[in-house]
Amino acid sequence: MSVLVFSLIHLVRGDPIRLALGTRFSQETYDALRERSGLDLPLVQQYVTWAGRAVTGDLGVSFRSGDTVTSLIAERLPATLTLAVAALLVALVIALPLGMLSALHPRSFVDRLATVVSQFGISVPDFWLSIMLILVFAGTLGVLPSGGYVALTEDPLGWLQRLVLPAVATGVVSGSVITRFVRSSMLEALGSDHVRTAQAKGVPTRQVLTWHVLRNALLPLVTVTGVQLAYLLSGVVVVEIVFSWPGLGQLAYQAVRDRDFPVLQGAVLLFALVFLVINLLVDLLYSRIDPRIARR
Amino acid sequence: MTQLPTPGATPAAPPPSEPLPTAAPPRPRWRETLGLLARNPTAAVSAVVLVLIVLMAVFDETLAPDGPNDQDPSRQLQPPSWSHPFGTDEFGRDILSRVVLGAATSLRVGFLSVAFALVVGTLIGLLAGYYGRWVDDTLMRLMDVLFAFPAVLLAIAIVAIRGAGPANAILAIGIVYVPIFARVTRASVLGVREEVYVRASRSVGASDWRLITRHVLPNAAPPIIVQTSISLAFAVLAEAALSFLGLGPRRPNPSWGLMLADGRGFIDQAWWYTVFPGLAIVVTVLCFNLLGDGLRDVLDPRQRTLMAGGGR
Amino acid sequence: MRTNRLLPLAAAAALVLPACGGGQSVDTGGGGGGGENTLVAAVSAEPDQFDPHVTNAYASFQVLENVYDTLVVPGAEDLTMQPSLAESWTTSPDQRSWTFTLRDGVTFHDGSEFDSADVVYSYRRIIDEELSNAYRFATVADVTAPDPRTVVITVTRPTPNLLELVGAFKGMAIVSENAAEEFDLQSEANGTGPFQLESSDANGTVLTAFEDYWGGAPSIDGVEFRYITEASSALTALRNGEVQWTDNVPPQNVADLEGDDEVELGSVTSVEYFYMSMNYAVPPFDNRDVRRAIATAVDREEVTQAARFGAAQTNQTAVPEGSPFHLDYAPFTPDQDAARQLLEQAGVQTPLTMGLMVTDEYPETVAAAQVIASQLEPIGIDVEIQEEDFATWLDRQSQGDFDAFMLSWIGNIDPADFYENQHLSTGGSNYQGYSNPQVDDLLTRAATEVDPTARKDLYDQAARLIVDDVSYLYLYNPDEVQAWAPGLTGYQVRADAAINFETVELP
Repeated sequence: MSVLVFSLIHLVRGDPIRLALGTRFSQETYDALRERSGLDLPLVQQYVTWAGRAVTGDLGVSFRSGDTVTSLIAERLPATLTLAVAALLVALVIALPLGMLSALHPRSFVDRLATVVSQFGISVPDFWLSIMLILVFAGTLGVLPSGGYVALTEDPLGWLQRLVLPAVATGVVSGSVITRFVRSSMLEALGSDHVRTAQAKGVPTRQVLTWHVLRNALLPLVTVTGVQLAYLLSGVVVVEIVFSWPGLGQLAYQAVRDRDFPVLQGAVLLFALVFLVINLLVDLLYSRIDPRIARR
Repeated sequence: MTQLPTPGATPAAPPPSEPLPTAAPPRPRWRETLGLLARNPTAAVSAVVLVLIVLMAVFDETLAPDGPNDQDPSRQLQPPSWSHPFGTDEFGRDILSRVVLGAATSLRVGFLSVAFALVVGTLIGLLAGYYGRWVDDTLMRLMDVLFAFPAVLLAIAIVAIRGAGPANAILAIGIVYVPIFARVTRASVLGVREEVYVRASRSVGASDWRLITRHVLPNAAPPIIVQTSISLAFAVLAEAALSFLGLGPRRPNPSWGLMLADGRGFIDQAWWYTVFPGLAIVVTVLCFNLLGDGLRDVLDPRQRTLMAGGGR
Repeated sequence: MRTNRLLPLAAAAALVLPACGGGQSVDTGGGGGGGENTLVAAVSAEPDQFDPHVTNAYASFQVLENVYDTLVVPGAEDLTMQPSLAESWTTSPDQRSWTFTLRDGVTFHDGSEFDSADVVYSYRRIIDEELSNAYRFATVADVTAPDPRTVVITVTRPTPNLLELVGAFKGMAIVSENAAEEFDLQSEANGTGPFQLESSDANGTVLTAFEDYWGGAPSIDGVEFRYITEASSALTALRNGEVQWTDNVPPQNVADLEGDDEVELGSVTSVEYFYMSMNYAVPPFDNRDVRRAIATAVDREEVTQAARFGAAQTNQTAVPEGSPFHLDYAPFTPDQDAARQLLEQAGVQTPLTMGLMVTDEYPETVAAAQVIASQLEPIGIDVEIQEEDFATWLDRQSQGDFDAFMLSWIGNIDPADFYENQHLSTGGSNYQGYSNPQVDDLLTRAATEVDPTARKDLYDQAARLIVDDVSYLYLYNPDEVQAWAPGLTGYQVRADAAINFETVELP
């Protein structure tokens, strides 16, 4: 995969050296910088060097800033983690009650409301939602800042104020997806044979719900939550841009624009890693919840 | 963006390892399907609205009150009024006209990119599901790689390699959705491959081609159709996001995403600049989603029972 | 040559003093940020790095302006060169050597003393390592230090603009001798400027006042630069006192802000200029009449209205009004009939298509292009706006893969900067492929003309030809607009957009 990513990245038109030098420079300057950055070497050699270092955790140095890629990623990680966790929290707060209630009372008012809300949620572009939130809460009402990031340790209140809008903007969308999963997987569990058997045997409803329904409904829920978390962690690029949120998505986007190949390679590697780790965790959780899977 | 891409986010996509129920679903006739659909008010209304949007896109120039690029410096950033119901932008262009004309852009990119994903994805899914073994392994591993790559970034990278513009936006969005179609198709194929009637035809000596076209594909069709409608919704979202980042259609041609990007700079001065194009996106995407749900109810009985309340 | 390499006492004093300064002030500068007496400045972009000889980013120079010094410095009023690290200078009668007398008693932030060896080291670093500003030393033969207070620069031909070349901006900063070996200049700094670089991360950059600054310690304790990309956020932060200064003021906000008591606005016509350029290698744009037709069809007032909401000075030449080198010359009057006639005269088939390459790195080129497209449509030119990211844009520009493009030039002070590179047949940035022997001759003579009046006259003649031939289709000089908290004093908006907080006092 890293070979694929590497060659893809180097297919991109545009020259990081020219970009770094701006519009006025001499050819000698250009050649000197190109040589220093190693871009004059054959692509295969560049890859081997990069991969060799990457194995030892050295992802190289940014063309743009000269910082190590690892330090750049480490700098962005807290902001991304904060936003991902907060957004997931918002999503679950919306999805769990709404999804469960609508599954328990199909065709009721709550169910219809949940359907409308979740349909709307998956249909709204999160960057537009972000702009609308800024328009209302930062513009008209003027109660929340429209963007930026401060560390929790530096200014806890400011941290929270700046987190609310981006977390809601991304959380609503994720929450809508999860709501639908909660509802359908609970319905499936409710309709399954052993739940009906349990009900027929006269097991109390509460016990049926917690032991049979929730347990079964948890499986798909864990999956979709995992997928959502992976998605959120890999950077909600456009929302990060709209809110000036200094996360990984913004870093990767900027790296594409700057043709900052080392940073881009590092970011992509991290995204792939996040994806793999979360999938692994989901699998592990699966076997904890449903031991049958472990044997498969 | 948008939830655009994560294929797992699509409620219709079954987990890859879990084949659809083995009972071959009865094949509904299209007439029957339409009838059923008409009885689902939400889906029917969505379909009607979509038809209107498509008509709007087709007859854009005649419908729009103003030329999309008619500039007038004397009416910069005017709020909504009778003569300009959606207000004007920084060039004094009529936003209503541009929203109407943006429909064509969005729908064209949406339809074409989904068509691309549909053809390529279905083909890959068929091959992987039908031939199994190393074909399956290779193809699905490739799909996993595509799937692991954050979709927005994948699309951005594709556009960066090939240059901005509508054609490349279509390709980029199409590639992003290939894995979803591949997975849906493969799952359906796995479901029918070992069916008695399929095995029977094979033992009679039917060719692969015949088996695929006569038996496998028709059985895989319903989930693919449902997936198509839902993917259209996401493709319109994806197009908006790419345009928003300046990777879609070229200015000055109107596009909803581009209008949002431009309007964002005037958020202090002109709320109408971002509100109306955004609403246009939401309505279109919502209709595709609702129609997709309606289609699923009709075409995909397993999902329908779920949606209707678990057969209680 | 750093004499007092170790100065424990001075270093200790420098550490203690800012703390005292923070204690004595009771005024509240507003919300977040460092100490009470720290200026919080909202800038729109994050510096890429802090090595003045390597970076090309404006965001970096906003910070470096306050950290480093140059031999001479453009004056705030008309950008003529004033003494800085060099107190005075003389040129030899043959104009082949410049002798600079350096200021006494200047210390670097690490406590070491400034002398001529630092100048030689800095310039040699730029020249020998072929760093991005090496081109500014094109005529320099040698840089020597006969004694600690004297630097001699010898040139291969008379170079009347040498002061501008070494002083126009902080890309020519003087770093301490061996700084590149002793410091990580990408993230650290050792300058002689009024502020020291304290720290920098994804949220901002912190500078602290340098108590031993040769011009006298600044009255504020430090500057905190915060990166706020969104203009509306920056302005909100300014209104509620979170920041006290910002240059993130989009032109469309100017009208609102002018009536706002909570914000003070400063504006000056900058030396930046926006232009459009057509490719001489692509017919019919090689035809002078076609280019002149386009120049005649463009209405600059409408362009600046849409692209800058009027916050600009239209200009048919490059140098803005207010500069001593300004030329009052405006041969084109917007007239679509005349433009059509010129096209007919040129014998080209209309409608013809012109790709106009712009980049979102300079959003106003995207806006201006849309206006120009609508102005050229009636004369039968179909403009296809090609918006690219900057990397692709530059790539296409250098390969000549364009019909026409728009961009701006910044940081020009001397007319040589405005014309040579862009319009000489051999100019490094002459991507349009302009070649006029007369212009070449005028520019070459002007480059070595030491009499200021004769020099300006030569440049004026060249500029007329450049405008008439439409080598560049000059559009406008944008206003540099900045905003700050009411009561903030000692700050001046500069035409070169350099921002200097040395003399700022907080309310």
